[in-house]
Amino acid sequence: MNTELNLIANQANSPLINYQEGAEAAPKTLRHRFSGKPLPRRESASAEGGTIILGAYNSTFNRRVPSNVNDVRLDKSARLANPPGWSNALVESASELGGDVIKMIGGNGLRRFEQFKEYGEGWEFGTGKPLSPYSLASFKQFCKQFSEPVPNEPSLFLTREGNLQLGWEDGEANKIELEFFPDKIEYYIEALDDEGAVDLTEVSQLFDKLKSIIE
Amino acid sequence: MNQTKCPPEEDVARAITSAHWDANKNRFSSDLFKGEGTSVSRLAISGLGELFRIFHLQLNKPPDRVVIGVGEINVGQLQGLGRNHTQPIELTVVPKPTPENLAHAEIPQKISRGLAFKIIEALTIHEDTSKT
Repeated sequence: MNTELNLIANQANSPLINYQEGAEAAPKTLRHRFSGKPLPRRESASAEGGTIILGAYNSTFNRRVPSNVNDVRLDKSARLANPPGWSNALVESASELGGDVIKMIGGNGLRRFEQFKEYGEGWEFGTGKPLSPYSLASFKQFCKQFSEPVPNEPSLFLTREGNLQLGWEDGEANKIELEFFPDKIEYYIEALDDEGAVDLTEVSQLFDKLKSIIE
Repeated sequence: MNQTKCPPEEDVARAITSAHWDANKNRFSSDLFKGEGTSVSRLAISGLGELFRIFHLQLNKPPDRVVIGVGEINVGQLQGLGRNHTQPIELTVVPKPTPENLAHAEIPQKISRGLAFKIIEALTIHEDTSKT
């Protein structure tokens, strides 16, 4: 009997990519990421619920299903059988970013992140800097802490400073942009005509602004 | 030092990279124009075809196809956007030719995110049609 793990690349819009998992898995151990309720068989993830499982297991390997899917990760100890269209590099990037980030940027953002990792020094007329690992850390922290659902899946950008940046629109098509520096987040919220920066230790101020336009 | 400035009648082009344009969602990053010293190229010196060739030579280091388009704007229109912004700014375009790109110029002023988005909205986008 096979069970099925669904790997959702793009939470809201992308088609689900199904991954066939080994025979001894126990679907009843999978739980919904937010409700905590057990997931019925063949419904181990849902585009609405936001469960993302980045696990790849091979029937010839030590088969197991994570008992707690709240920690979204790729088990690198397992032999990978990538979903169709997914290169090893893409799967590694997904693992590197983690579930909170994937939930925010979806498959499109994941593929862009994969591109940005290849940008070398001077990629923009000699001035573009490579992707900053500190910016990445700041970005991941933001995605982990900011729990509000973002209505339009944001786009991921790389700035000339080597920072990751998110951009999307609110319900009135006003622009929102966040740039993740190693020590701060610079923001632009068109609806509030507000442009500024917050220290990473004071991101709650930014969260309040974002919540006010998302609600 | 008094720098020569491009007249308002001129049109300039900005190379658009995949880092700044999410073509799938048709969204741009303000980083395309934000900050100081934004590079542009004068269409009075080089045509679009020549500029695409130069941009690909200069910017298409790995990964492949960094440059995916060019945004065109009139200098006078650019200056009007600066003057009419919430916090008005006098924008200029200063020629800074390089051996690789004789049409190269820069916008020396510091552009905010909000103004950058206004400029981006005013661009005429030319997608690279040489992707074969």
